[in-house]
Amino acid sequence: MIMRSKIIISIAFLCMLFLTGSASAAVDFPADEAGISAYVKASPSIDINDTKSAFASIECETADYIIGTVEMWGHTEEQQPHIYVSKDGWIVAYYPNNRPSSWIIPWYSYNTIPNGNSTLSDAVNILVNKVGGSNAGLKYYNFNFPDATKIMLIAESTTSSNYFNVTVPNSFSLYEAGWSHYSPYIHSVGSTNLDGETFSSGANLKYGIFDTLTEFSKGNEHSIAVSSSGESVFVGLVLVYAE
Amino acid sequence: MKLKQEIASINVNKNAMIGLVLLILIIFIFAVPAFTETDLTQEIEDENIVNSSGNNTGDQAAGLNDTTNKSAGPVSIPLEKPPFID
Repeated sequence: MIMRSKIIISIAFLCMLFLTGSASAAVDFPADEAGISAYVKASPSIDINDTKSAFASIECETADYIIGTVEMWGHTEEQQPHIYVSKDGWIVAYYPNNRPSSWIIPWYSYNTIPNGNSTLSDAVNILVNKVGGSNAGLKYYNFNFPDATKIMLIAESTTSSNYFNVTVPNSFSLYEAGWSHYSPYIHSVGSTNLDGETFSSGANLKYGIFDTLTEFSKGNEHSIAVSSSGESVFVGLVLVYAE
Repeated sequence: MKLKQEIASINVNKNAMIGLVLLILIIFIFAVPAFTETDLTQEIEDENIVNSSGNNTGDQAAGLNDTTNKSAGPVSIPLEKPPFID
């Protein structure tokens, strides 16, 4: 009887150690290099050798994990997020911490933005499909702003002119206001402006941030406008904040 | 002798109870969050948190090659610290 109770207690502690271990796994994830990230526990375990063919480039490979980039349709190499895959089932897509969160706007699939899609979720899904795992429970985190609790994506397109207005309440903490300007057609002359001041122009893909104290202050309504000489031009805003 | 057996029996039951309580605690700690995880799609269109407006904001988004003027979002997505970070 004494032996049985000891066994029960031992099993309880082993369960505790096992479950705690599985939750805190993901070996050597480069948290000091990552900024905006999307992650999911895709599977209880992953044979990382099986994932290699999905990578366009591999930057780091150990027995426990691989870090690289994946080919994504409609993306330049620079736009491809970094992907971390670990043998204990974690898949993390992230941009380096020197890039604003607006890099997650999926311009190549603009119509999926209302579904919560991003370049990061699309990159994660490539690996999830490769390993036959699940993307249920995909979450986001910004390693630059550990106190932020939400991000918001807003985008606008036009062949002439268009705009949207945003007000961030004073009671919120606003950590970053990142923007992106996408003008894919070389013959199109487009520009974007914040409250009447041009912040990007020309044909290309650009990213940046607004100063949250002066340019994009809380408590004031800000207008972001986009204009084009004929072809589609896009502007996006990504806010990182806490209520 | 009988008294010793009773004391041993009480100790056994006490240890078994501790084990049982620990098991219930573990199940509670790890099972409850699994059932309360939020779906990202539930957070979409959270327009009350950050107010935004525009002439087309909130419309069905257009494809890149669509020549009409349409908006995408606002889409609000929660941020959550990964469990694998200290």
